Amino acid sequence: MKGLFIKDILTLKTNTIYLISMLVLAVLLSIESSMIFTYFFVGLLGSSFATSSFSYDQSERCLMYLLCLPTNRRQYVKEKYLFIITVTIGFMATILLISSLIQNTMIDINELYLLLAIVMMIMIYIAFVIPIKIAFPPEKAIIVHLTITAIMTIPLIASNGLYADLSQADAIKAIVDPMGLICISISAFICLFVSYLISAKIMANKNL
Amino acid sequence: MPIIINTTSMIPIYEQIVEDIKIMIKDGELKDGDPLPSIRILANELKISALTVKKAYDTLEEKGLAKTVHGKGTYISILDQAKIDEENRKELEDDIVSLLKKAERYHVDKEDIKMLFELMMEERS
Amino acid sequence: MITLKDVTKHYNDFTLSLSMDIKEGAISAFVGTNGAGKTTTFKAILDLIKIDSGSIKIFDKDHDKLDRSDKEKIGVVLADATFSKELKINDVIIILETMYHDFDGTFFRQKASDLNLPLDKKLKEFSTGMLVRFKVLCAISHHPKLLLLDEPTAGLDVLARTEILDLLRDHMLKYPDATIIISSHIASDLEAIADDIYLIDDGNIVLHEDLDKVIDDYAIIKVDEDGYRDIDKTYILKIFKDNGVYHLLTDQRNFYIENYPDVVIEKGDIDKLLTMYAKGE
Repeated sequence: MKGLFIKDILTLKTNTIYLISMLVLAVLLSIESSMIFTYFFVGLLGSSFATSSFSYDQSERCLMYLLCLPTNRRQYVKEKYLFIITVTIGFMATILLISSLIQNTMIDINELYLLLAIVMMIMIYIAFVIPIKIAFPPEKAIIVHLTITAIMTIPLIASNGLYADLSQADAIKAIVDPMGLICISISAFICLFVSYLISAKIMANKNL
Repeated sequence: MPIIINTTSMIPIYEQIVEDIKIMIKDGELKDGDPLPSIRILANELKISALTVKKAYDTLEEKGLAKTVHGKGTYISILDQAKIDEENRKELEDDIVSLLKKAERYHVDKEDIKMLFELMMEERS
Repeated sequence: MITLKDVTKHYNDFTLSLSMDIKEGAISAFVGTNGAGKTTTFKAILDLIKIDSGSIKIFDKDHDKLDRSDKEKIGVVLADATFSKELKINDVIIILETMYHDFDGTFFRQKASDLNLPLDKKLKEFSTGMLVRFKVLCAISHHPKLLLLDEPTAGLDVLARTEILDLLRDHMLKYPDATIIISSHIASDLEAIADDIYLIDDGNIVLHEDLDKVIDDYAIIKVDEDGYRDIDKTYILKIFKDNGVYHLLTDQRNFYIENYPDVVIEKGDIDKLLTMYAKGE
């Protein structure tokens, strides 16, 4: 699995320019928009970036070759989950740090709660996206992926509009309370687990 | 030890190898006890299948010219001169039979063959 | 080392059905027209496709139950798949080092230099020939016991092909128990390296023969209508009529040389065999 992880890092590294420009955009956005919007945006951005590793594997039939190396289908799926989740959380944590550096404020606990909640929501999003990426060839997968992303951005845009009037703190309080956080975290874990089982099953039966 | 083979010849490659080695023995290039190259090495050099080389070495062993020591390789081993002579004689016999068969096909009768044979022998000596 | 027993795989318009037993130290070649089933067989062995029935054993284990250390003993070249073309060779070296305990970085770099492969360029900038050489290097640099090579010399000129074949021969020299299964359309390559050939046609093995028998004992006899009528057909395996000339395949060349000295008899080779089995009856 380590080898596959390194492969994904090295492959996506070739896209650093895209990555950095997106990050810069995110940072700029964070100054003007609500944090909620920014976190969602960065979460979707990070996970999309990470899931693009699937298209590298599938578009040139690399997957076929990868499975001939000392790994197996299970490992391939595990690594993808690990990679995508790590990269997404990494993106979001980076933005948190950068924005608090820029705004010269300390990271307050509410902000952290908010980030966690959004992270969990993004995890649920990832749980839907990965099996689709595995099941469908790149062309079809893109369509479904974009559809889901569009659906996810509705709360995003809504949040920007709805809570623009409230102050940050009030907005956050409105969304996150400990019970809510726990519920959404558990849902996220369950979704990811089920998603993994489905992905593993699809992968196991795939004829290449 | 350059063994040269003709890949387009009708003569099986293993036979060509055997012949080349026989000539080397006759010329003294290969002496009793000398090792022959390992099967893989010779196969790689000649760009042919290892099985062909093995066949050549097996043939040499049958003819009493070489011996394969398991795990060590094949060595020239001209033990049994009598056996070699017997092999040579058998080869000549086979050639003569081929000749006679051909004669039958061409409807050349036995007396003519004998005459032809003696004529040729005279020419050569 | 590899045993396929009654393996079948059904597709819409094609069915693979074969058995084979490949021993240690052998270099076996798969020969066949496009679509005959060579690549399908490779994919079945590598568990890239699921077989419908039969069993495949590698190193005496079921082919879909190989563990990591088993897979580290296998090297693969696939006809149209390799690492992502966004990667450079230096990247691939890092990946291979991580995945194979026995990866020989020094060997890889040395051979890459010998074969003129730039370590610092993305694979997408490689020519076909360079890519093939790269794929072969990836397959052998961890010195595997089993090499599965699907068209490892495709698109290469004769000099490059010789380099690759030399690489393979060196491998066999260093590791005499290693096994190679190689498929190629370039018969002369196979004739220079293989020990035995499997002729695959329409999903079946139509012939499995030692290469030296193919070259020494098989022959194509060409006769006209009269010749065809008169000739002894006991040892004729395949017949193909083309423009009034009968092409006859036999595995008893000497019989026909001795008994029909005036008839045109050509040495057997892989291409001729393939053509006769594909077109003849």
